[in-house]
Amino acid sequence: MDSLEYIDNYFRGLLTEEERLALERRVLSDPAFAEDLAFYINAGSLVKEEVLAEKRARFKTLYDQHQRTTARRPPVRRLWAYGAAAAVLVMVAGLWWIFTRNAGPEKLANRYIDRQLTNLPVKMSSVQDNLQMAVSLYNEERFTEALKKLQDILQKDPGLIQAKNYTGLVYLRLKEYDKALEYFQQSAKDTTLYSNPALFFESLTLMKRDHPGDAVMARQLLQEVVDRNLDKKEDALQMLKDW
Amino acid sequence: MLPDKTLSMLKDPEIIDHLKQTGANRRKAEDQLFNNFVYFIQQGMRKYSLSEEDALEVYSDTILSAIDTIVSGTFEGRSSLKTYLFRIFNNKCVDHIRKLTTNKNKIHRNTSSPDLLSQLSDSAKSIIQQMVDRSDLDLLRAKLKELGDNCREMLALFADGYSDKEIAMTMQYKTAEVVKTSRLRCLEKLRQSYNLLKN
Repeated sequence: MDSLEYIDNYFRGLLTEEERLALERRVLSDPAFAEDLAFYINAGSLVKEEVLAEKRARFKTLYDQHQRTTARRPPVRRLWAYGAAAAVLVMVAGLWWIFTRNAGPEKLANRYIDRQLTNLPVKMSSVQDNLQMAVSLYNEERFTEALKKLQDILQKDPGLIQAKNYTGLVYLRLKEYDKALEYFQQSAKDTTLYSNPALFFESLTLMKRDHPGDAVMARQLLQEVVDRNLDKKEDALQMLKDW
Repeated sequence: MLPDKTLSMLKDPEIIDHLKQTGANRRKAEDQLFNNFVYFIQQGMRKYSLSEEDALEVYSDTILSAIDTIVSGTFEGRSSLKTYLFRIFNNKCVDHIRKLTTNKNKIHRNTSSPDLLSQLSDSAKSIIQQMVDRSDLDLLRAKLKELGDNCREMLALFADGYSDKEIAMTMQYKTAEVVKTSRLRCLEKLRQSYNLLKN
């Protein structure tokens, strides 16, 4: 088989597991083949760059058209729109204030997840490692792919606490609370780390699961985070205040 | 092909369905998706103090990233398109600001190489990464421009997520196999002209 076809089949998932492994071994032993593979990636990347540049230019034109249309609208009509929007905003703010005075554990957890756990920090690096790629996938809500990546990582390094915590977070976002708890509980057992938010995440998961007794346990865990001066102590304190 | 008026009223499942099609329908669905939430740009300017140009760039990246996810079938439909896009947009705004503050002004692009690289094992990946970094991309770009229109269109459709079968339908080839052979021939031609000058 021609090397480009072989490489093409690899990236399109058309090879057997054995053939895939053979290709990866060949990269290590055959520099000319590795060059072909690098060429395949570069060529695909450049073509895609051109495709995306064309789409960006098209979007720019659409945006300019949109701006021109908006600018032509009579100002009075816009004033009404702003007035109506302001009225709605006041109503929403009022309702929000009424309903969130006593937030309740599940709402507290939802609020925390929305604000703090939908966009986890990704380390800046030209070459992303697998853990950072999993976090990027998580941030893009590609949970199934993130999970797969994390499971690969844990298979190679079952003791990696960060990977366990991220896995727990993925399950939390997928509303699979029992699995999330399993990972956070495993992770919380490791007391060697300077910073491990597992106990706090476990509490958050219990707040979301909301089975009988979960709220009481969640509160106790928050208190434990505060008492033992663990990671996320400030967040735990705030939650206990808002409870 | 659907008339514009019908397309402008498409709901989420229909937009997703059209994005998975080929040709004009897909292009119109992409434009529709962009237009539906174009007000995010103003939100990016207000909430994150981005310039209009930056907010437009981040929003365009958001739409392109969502299209990629939808076309590849990895969009799981757990939330509405609006919620999904809003989350991506916010994440990208935060990323953009982080990059600005760490003096990494180059905006993240949705190029295919990181995706492809991630499929390799770690040992193979580091070797290929070094070769990718050493490559003369300007030369490769110049050689790409010298390819014939057919080749360029075929490679562009493939990079845009079209399967060989869909390319065959769009470009009126007889079969997917013919497209695959032609596509690989185009790549081979590009490789030879690139290697000739590179070495």
